[in-house]
Amino acid sequence: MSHVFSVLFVIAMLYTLIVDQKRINQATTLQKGTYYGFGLLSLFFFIMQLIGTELPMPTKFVVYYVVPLVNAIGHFY
Amino acid sequence: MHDTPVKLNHRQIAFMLCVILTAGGELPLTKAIVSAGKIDGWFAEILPMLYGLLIAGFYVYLYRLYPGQNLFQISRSLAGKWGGALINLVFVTHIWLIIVRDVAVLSDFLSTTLLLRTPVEMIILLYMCVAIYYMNTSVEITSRVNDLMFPLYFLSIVLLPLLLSNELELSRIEPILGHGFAPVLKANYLSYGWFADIVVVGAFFNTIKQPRQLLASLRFGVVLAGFLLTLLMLVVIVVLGSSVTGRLMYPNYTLVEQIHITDFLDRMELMVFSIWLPALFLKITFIMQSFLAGVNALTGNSKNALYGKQIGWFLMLTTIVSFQSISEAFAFGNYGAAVFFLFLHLPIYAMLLLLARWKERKKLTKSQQEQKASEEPHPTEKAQKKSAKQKLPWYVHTSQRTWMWWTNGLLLLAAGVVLAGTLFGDKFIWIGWIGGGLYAVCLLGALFTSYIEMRRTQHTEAREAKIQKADAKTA
Repeated sequence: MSHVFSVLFVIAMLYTLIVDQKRINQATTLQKGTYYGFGLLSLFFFIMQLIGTELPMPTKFVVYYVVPLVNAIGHFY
Repeated sequence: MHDTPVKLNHRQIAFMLCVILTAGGELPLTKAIVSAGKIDGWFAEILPMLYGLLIAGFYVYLYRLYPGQNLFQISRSLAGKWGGALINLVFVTHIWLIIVRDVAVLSDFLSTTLLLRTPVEMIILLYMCVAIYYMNTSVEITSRVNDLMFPLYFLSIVLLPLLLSNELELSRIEPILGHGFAPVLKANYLSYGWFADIVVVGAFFNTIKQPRQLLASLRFGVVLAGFLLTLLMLVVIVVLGSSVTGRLMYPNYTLVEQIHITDFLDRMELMVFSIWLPALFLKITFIMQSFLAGVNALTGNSKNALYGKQIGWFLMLTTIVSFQSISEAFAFGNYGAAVFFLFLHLPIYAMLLLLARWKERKKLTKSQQEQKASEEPHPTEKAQKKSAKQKLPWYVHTSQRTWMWWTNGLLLLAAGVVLAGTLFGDKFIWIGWIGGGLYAVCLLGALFTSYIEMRRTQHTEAREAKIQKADAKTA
């Protein structure tokens, strides 16, 4: 992940928080939770990618476990 | 941002569905389908098309029960607060994975063919900035852009055989249907996964008023998508051959590179991709708006602008971390999607259907049945309609249901032709040619009848609106 991208991402996140402040103040607790939940998840993924830790994403589960199974059935057929 | 109800017309829904089903599939799907189906890869869309029509019917059945609601709201109404939330969570997760797949493929395609020195992250970031702008507005805006782009997109695919006429070699598809049923079935299975993307349109049911208009639009969208993908696949095989296509990462790119109109009109691929890439961009934007609608339904939010940006960054980051390499994205898109359909969508659809049937029976009280009887047209009204019929366009003389059965019949006939062809195509080469020809005729016929279905409903709606207006005036 390039440094330029990292800087741009941090600026984008901060900008989003500032711009959405008014809307967030009017939102319900569940909506606030969802909004900050997405933000925290993005930050978590960003830090993990920066550190270089591989995450167990659902896509990887499908690629590593389900796709070989589908291929095996295809070959058997 | 927009508090006024969003309204789309039948044409916009049909074009939207067609772009959703075709635009993403063009890049990774061609290689996978031709690898599986070999020279018979161009028969890969028949079963997914039938599935698409079935799901369109199912969606409209749900919409008739709960008019004015989208799929997420209908799930909530049918399965209750918690059950509905669980179902919606599955739909939203699937839509999220579709976005991740498509953005990953698009960014890789751009970074390997057109923007060689731009980092993938930057391509995704720039793309997301534009997508966030669209997400903060409404699907109406995206549909209008699609209205402008779609005719060009359609022409760019339909004109491919003409543009590549000097490269066509029909012997590359011989023997037609000569390798048995297994390759055709495998290719159809791969296509199935991409047609499961139809769930995205579920988020936009409430943008159209009449259920029959929605049905006609969805049906036309499915058949048009099937036709375009079949044509593209056929041209790829006829121009490049199945073995070359199976080895290429992006066969469609190589295909349009083959276009040479005289000696001075070269590099036509840039022109074609300046149409195909916006279509893919629009597809992903539609899916992102569907994702947003799902999250809105889960949290009871009505304003897109609240989550738009935050969801955009979330999708950008998850796209970057989801795949180690593009081959993983290809494997996920081509083989994983159908698994999602089989193990998640099918049980959920079955459950929703059972719940809907149960609630419908409960709802249909005696008084409603009486009301239905009173809605039967009066004999004088019937006579008036009969006299009015004579001034109407030719396709209005046949009911929408009849046109619908024509489309269904033609597609079933096409499926039957493929089945018969695979049984006897290896023995007699002429059977394969007849089968292929009949298949093409059936597909063209189904495209025509599904279009007429749409025109027929449009005409009926316009007439009913006119009558209502006249009634209001006299009142």
